[in-house]
Amino acid sequence: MLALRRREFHQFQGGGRDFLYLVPSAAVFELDQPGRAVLDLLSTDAPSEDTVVDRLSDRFPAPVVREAITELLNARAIGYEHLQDAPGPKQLPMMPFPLNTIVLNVTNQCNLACTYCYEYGEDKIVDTEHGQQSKFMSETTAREAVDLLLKESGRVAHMTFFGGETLLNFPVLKATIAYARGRAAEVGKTIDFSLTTNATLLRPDIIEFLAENEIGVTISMDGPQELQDKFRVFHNGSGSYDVVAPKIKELLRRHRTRPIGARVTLTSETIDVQRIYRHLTEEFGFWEVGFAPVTTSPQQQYAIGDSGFDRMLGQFRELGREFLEHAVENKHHGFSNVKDTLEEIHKGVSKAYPCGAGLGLLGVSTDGDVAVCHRFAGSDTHKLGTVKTGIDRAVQAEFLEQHHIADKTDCHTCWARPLCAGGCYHEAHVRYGTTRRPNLHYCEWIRGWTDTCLQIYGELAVRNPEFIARFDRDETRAEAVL
Amino acid sequence: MIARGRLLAVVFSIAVPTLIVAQAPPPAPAQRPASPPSMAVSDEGIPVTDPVVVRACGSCHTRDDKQRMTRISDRRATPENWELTIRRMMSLNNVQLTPDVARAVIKSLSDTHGLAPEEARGIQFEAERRLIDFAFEADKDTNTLCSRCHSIGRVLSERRTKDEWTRLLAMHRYYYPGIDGASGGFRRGGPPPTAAAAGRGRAGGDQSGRGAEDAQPMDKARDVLSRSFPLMSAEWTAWSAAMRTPRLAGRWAIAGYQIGRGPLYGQLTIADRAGVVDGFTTESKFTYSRTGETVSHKSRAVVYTGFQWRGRSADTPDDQGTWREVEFIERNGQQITGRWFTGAYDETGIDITLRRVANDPVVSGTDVSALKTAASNQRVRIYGANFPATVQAAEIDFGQGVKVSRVVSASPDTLTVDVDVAANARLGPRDLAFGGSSIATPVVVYSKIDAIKVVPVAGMARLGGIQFPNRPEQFEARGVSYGADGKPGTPDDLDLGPLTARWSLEEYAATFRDDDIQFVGELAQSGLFTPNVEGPNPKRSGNRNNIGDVWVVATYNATAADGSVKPLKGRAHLLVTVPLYMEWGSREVGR
Amino acid sequence: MTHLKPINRKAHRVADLAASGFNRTPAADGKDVVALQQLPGPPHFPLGCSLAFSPGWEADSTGGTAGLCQPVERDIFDCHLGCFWPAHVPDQLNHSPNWTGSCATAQKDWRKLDLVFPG
Repeated sequence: MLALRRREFHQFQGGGRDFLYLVPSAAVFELDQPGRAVLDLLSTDAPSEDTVVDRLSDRFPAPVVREAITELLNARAIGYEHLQDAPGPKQLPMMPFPLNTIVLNVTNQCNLACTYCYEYGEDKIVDTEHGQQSKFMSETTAREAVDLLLKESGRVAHMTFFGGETLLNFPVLKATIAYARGRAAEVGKTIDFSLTTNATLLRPDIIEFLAENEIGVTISMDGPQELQDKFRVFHNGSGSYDVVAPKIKELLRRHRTRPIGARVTLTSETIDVQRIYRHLTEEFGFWEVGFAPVTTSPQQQYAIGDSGFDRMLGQFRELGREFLEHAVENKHHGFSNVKDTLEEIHKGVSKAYPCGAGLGLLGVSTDGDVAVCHRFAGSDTHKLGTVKTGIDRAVQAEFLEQHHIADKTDCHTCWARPLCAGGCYHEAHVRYGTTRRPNLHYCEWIRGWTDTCLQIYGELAVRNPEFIARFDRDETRAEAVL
Repeated sequence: MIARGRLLAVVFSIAVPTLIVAQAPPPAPAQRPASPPSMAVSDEGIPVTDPVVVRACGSCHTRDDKQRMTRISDRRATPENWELTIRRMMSLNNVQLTPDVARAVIKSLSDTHGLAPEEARGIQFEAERRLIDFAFEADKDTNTLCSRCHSIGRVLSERRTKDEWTRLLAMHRYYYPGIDGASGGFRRGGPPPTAAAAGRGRAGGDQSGRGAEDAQPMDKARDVLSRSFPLMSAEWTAWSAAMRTPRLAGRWAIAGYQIGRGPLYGQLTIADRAGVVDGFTTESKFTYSRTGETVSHKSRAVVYTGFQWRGRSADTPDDQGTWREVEFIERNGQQITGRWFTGAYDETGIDITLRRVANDPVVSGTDVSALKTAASNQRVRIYGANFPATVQAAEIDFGQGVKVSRVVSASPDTLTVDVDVAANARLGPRDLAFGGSSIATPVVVYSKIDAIKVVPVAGMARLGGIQFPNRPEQFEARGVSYGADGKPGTPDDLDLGPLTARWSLEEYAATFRDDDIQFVGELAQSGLFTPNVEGPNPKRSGNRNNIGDVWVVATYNATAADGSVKPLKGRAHLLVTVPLYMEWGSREVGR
Repeated sequence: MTHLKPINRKAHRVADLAASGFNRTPAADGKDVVALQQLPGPPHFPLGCSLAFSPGWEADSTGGTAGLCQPVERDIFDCHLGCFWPAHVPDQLNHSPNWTGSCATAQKDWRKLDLVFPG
């Protein structure tokens, strides 16, 4: 008889039950006792079906074991030893792929000088100070970007304003929104707006405008004063907390039409996730907070080293547990990292690319050059076209051809690849000098965090499946946390 | 629907006078490279003795003392290919012939310079106008090169000397200069660099003008074709001796199949046609066994080369509803097989087998094609001719496990019987033997319908109806059993014959927001797809035509009796595409 | 499925697929792939389809229609003049120099094109 073997999956527990996360299908199954017993037997050697039935005969009747084996075979959790798994197909997306989001760099100037900034810091890839690009995007260019978006999008389009400091170019932002609304109506599409800002320029009239126009807002902020003022400083070195705090509070008071999120950059010196979360949600009242480790080359002082990652993971887990306890009672919790991952787990996402950059999302530089995403805006080597001439499909095709997970051989044995697919291109570029490498420096972190999210998912499936069902009901726009 | 002309495929004859080649003086015999094609007829050329042909063609094609005519003697071809040559002579080379003379020339040359039965058998699909999957397997490169523009069957219908094949390729390049380029593929990298270099090359035997060490695709093809399809063959030599007017007059039993309508059976009478050499007339009547519909049919035909039947149901090719007949007469004179077809693109066809009827019983086939195990009283109708008045059930033999329990009725051409199939009857095809006659695999024995399939698995329809005719496509759903091993795709799988299904179209998503299904046409519940009209469609984005690709889906509600309870689905791909602006079908052959 | 309980959407799809029998038996929801699996690797082109793909006459190089020049009338002069498909479109070099004689704007006057019986 044929020998059985394990195929690829990640086993985890939640709510006292056993679960399987199958790779690469990204299906999540709850496993019962007989199923678990079969898998345990297969973890040490490769018995045949009869042998498995035999060995488990004292615990489960034969038909039950055989049924479990059949189901595990069908789900591809196990397979036959003589049949090797075929590598994943390299299937490129159908073209033309509808554009979902466009990110406009309305300016590359900024009134802060945050030490770790990827645009201005030592790791920057585009020289915006002495380079040739315009400092501000013109209205004409912004309009062309709108036209490009509406031409390439599906029925719903998203436009995000970014910078530098976005609000330095508020006039263009305002005019573009008006123009975009008009054009969208003309072509029968829906358009949605959001922006990211450091909050220093949130004047009352701007706040009013944002609230009136239902613009999504993300505030780049790092937490309580001593953490915020460590890196988010003005050009003279003084901290920004005192300037932004009242403005943010005013914004949160006035702007109730869209949830407002904070985006926190974690560094080696600002790793106290729970404290930051508490401060931002309780002191300020942010609806949600998203955390991202700083993108940097390893030699920077603020780069998070291995022990830093371990501590960060521990912190994330604590906060994740808090999220779980809230979710069990259908109470809102603003730790958006968890929520976003849970949604992807629930959908069974299995990514060929780490994100939609160059595919459903594009960035536009101040001059109107189109890049794979906002972090590459203005860089020649990652240019995909211009707003005038459109997306260069040949270059885009080459980009997609070169960054497919099928070519990231380091990833092929990692169970977390359906959700990770190698990680951020910009991160890889800063770390390794090329966008094509997977981010091996945070594999442990990713696996650790994904395992945590799976456990949370499993526990919710047991203790409050109604929470998970919401992902099916509220299939709404995901707010891009940039 | 206007049934105008026919479709497809080109053969080009080389226009002689305009191709003057600069030649180097012939090299000394000791070191001979291949010499360029000379204008004289080859030693192996077949003489032309028919004065009609000599008169019609002799002003340009000179005859030597052995009665061999330049170009003509070095070639053998099917009647269709000869017709195209003659039409080209008239349109491009100022030849003027009356239709009668043209037909006589076609007939004469098809007989003296035709294909032997063994040479023609494999490529009958070409004359039969079938849209099938076929490739010249012996040389993939030649197959690809030649079938870029037209059917490979056109090429395989030729037998030529090497010089003649060379001239054929040269003629392609003369008439269609782009053929040297990327889309034609004759040469890598386009036409030869300079005329002088080309001339030097030709002197060395390289038609491509480049260099023999780096053989161009066209030269490779020339060599393959010259080797595989030379002028002389043993089969032709033998057939030229044996060829004669076939004796066909008499009665024939018809067994036919029309996709979408099922099997048909009947009787056909062939009579000699007065005043026409190798001419025949037919009269027939046949019935579609599924519906009982009866059709009467008449035709007039000419037999070329002693075995190539070409018939028409009406006299002029433009008559509405004209059916053409292309058939292959077996040497024993007992069986004729082929296709009857109609439609602007010859898309509607009946596969025909005729069996001669003398005095003994002849079995043509059955109405059902599958018998289920462990079921009794399955009604089967057996068709043929000369059935005796009384028939015992035991005389009808389907093989192991299948018993004819009773003969319900018997007439000279139809037997109706009830059949019991045992539970342990072996699954698979069965031959039917009765009255000294037998027929191979009219039925299969199966236990359950495992799946259904749709044929043709890749269909094609062409838009039309305003200025150009359209090409509908008829689909059929057929039952499939996975056989004794229960596994699909293994040799013991069984085709269970047609069944009635519910038809629908599904979008074949080749790109986002694919909307073909709204424009391509309609699929009737008979399985007939009728395409939309041609021309730019202002209602479609970009004023596109109504082309597209879609899935044609058949759903069959299996019953417990079929052995399956859930609905079975099968689907086929349908390409709905633009018209052809040229009609290549033969108009004179068979008249 | 009894021993494996599907939790996320993918798992439900896997379970449905398994329930329908996987190996080429059409699923009750109609997602049958029999026809696709029966076709051999390279795209299928019916006999007589032109295999010159710039962009292709009946089919594009993938065997579909998405890559064809659309509407065909838009470029018909080039097909006719450049003679890419001599078996499908009359050529203007030798056989049919006047084929587009009455057809000034192809997209409007295409009805004045004739069906040509070459030879």
